Amino acid sequence: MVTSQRVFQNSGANDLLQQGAEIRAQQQGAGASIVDSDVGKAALAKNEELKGIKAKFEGTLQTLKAQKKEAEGQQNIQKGGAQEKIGETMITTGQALLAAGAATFGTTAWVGLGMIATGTGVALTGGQQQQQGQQQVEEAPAYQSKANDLSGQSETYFSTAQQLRSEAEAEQQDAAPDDPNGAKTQGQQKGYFIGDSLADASSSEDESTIAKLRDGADKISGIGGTSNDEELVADASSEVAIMGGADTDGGTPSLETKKEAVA
Amino acid sequence: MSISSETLEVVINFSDKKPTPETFNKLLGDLAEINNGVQAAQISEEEFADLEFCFQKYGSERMANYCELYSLEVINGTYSGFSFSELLRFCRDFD
Repeated sequence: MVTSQRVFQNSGANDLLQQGAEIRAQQQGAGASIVDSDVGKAALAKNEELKGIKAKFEGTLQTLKAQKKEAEGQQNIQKGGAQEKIGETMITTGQALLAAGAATFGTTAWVGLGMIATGTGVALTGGQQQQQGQQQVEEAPAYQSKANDLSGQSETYFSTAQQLRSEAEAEQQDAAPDDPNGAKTQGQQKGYFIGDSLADASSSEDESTIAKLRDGADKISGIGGTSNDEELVADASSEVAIMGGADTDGGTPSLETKKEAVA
Repeated sequence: MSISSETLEVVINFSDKKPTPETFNKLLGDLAEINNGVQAAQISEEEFADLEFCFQKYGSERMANYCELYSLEVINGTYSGFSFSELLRFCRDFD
């Protein structure tokens, strides 16, 4: 990782330019830190993709639950219906036996009564099973709806991942050094170099600054985690060079040092 | 939907015996067991005697109609399940 923490003014600061060039050489080329930034985007893309896979998996689970509910419900409706019919047949048969029973209430009548009693229980249970089945069938669409929502979320994640990946690839191409020897010609001419805080690319401002540097802007903001620092450095000079990671994190050199450097 | 051969066999076997509360409860248990294990209604000695009395009082056909009506009430949800005490009360209310 880069450890340079320097802020300098372009005019009359050839020594600092030299230091910058040396540090860049240690980084194995000017594009190194920018490439790190792109790696961050690629990681974000991967993260989005993982979220997409998870949502898709959960969606599939919900679909399976919906199918299971539907299948079980239909099965219970069918079984319950059949059972209800058996019970009703037993009641009818029992009634006939009871009616045909001897006036003394002999065995035939008792059998009839027994069939009525049992048939009632069977039909009742069958009816309850049918109701349960109906409820399950009615619950199935809710699971399918969840599955559809998750599928939509999954597509969104995949789309975002694709976009981030494309951006990362595009930026990586842009970051390729103009000079095969490693130094980015434009930055070198203007005396810019980039510290490792750029590689964090934790905010869009960082990326914006990189873009300005590539375009050969006259004024480059400082880069780092503390926006106040960046603004101060940027305001200090019409041509402000780049600073490294630790000072942008509020570490060393101090703000006073930065001011001195750009004064 | 027809009654299963197992049910008929239980019925035929029972027909050979003189009914008692015990044998009738056995009949109910067997019928329930071969019909998806539905919880069988059981009869007490007192209920058994009351039913015999009702049968003699109201006659076979009338009792058959009462029983069917009571069963329909149970299936329609008026009663939580079949019980002989409820059946006897139902018959007396109708009388």
